[in-house]
Amino acid sequence: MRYGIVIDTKRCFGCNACTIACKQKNGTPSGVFWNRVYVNEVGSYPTVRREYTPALCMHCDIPACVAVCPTGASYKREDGIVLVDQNKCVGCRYCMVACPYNARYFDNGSSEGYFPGKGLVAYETAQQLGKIKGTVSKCTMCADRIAVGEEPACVQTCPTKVRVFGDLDDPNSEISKLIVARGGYQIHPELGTNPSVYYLRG
Amino acid sequence: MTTSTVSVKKVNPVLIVAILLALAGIGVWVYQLIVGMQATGLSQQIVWGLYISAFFTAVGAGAALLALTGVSEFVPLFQATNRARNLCLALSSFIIGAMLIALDVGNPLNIWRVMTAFQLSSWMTWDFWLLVIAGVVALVYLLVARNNRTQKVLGILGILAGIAVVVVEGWMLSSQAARPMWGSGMTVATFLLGAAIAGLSIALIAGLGGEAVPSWLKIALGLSLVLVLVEVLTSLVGSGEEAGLILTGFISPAFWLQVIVGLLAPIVLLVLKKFGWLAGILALFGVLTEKVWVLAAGTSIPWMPGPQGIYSPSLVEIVAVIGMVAIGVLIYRLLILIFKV
Repeated sequence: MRYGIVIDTKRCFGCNACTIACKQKNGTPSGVFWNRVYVNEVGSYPTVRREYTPALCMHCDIPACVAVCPTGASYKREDGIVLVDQNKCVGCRYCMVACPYNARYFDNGSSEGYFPGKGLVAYETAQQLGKIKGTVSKCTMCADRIAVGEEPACVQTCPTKVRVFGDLDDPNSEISKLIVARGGYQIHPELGTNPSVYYLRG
Repeated sequence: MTTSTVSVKKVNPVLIVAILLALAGIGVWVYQLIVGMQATGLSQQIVWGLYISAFFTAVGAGAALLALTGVSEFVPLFQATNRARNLCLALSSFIIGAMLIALDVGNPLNIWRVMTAFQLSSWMTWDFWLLVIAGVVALVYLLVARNNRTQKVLGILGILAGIAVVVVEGWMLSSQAARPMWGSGMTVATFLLGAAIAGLSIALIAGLGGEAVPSWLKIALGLSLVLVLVEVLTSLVGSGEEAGLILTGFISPAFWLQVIVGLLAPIVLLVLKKFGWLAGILALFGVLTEKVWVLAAGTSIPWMPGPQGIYSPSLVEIVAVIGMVAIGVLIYRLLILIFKV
């Protein structure tokens, strides 16, 4: 089994519901985005359009971040999900140097909340419990939701069904069929990490 | 009635300055432990800065001092009477490097995990253990070298350990596919040359240079000048983005400081045979600035859409690094006293 996500960029209109759902679910601090939507302008006047590229940790099959981690804090599960054990993380940030996808964030100790100068609201305080300053964090593919049979929050919340979650190793899964039928591609496959997030365009 | 004369020993002003700077460094370290790494100029894009640059410089210097002391068993470089002190310098440099790593990691309480995890897929693990081995070799070598005896076997071990540490540190960067600027193979070469410059410079500053060291340093600086230009030209061959950053972008001050202050100026001083100690300080500073621009330019441009990262060291970083160097000076004096060399 190898969990993955297919992202159909043709369906994305840049509402960022996935970004917000991720933040609500995971309580990431201000300025930290485990999920984000990149916006790009293509074409030239008068045929200009905006392209949206939702992105998250690529949960690579050959994760560069895991290979360089000196403490084993970054690891890949048998189901393909790449996680960080913050209790083991020393905060050396070698994984961030190795990751080409800007998927990792370092908690630099800033306690600035979403309302500067007002301190943390109760929700923010609750979300920060158990998180260790000075360590690295990233998208978990909502492993806790998957464990109880649910889809990742970003997949579940998308109003235009941009994202499809499933098992890449199962040729009969919806995502495997989509990749084959519509020529799914990975971002920067030349880097040799074999990402588990595929994109569909056009 | 008898009279007694009390002789007041003059305290070395260098030590007083070192103690003050060390206290300042410890002070900002405590401050950084309280507020976290936000005290640095690092960002989510550029995650290695002055601390890691200084670490590479210090460890490179220590490794070079160890290796070059070994070389001195075979060719006339360091005088036999200076070898023990050069090894004290090497050990002090390694200790400075260790303190800089403790400064750089966000969660220093977890450093012990690097020792117990044995993640051999990580070059950082190899770096750690090779550094430990180099430290042990330097210590054993020092114990033997105190008697000014020739130790060819330890010399060879020192050469191997010193080179291995620097090669692995260069490879730590070169092996990252996500950082094409480091992947040209030049990084390992510049690390080796930078280490040699740093080691020779420290020997010169400490007055342990002898006659051969200025000549060796002059050659190393000349080679480094060529390599730096080749490295920049290599990055021009690719997208050219990194070369733009290095030559005219946010990190260009570090590059030009290296070329003018850290390479050309010491070469001139060494050619004129004046102010050798100053040439050493400038050359050492040049190695540090080279690491800063190599790290910042190599990580500045993201693969994903988004703005490039920028970096300039914060005052906390600068004071902390100076403080660690000052602690290194004190440790060096302490090692000289302990080992009576």
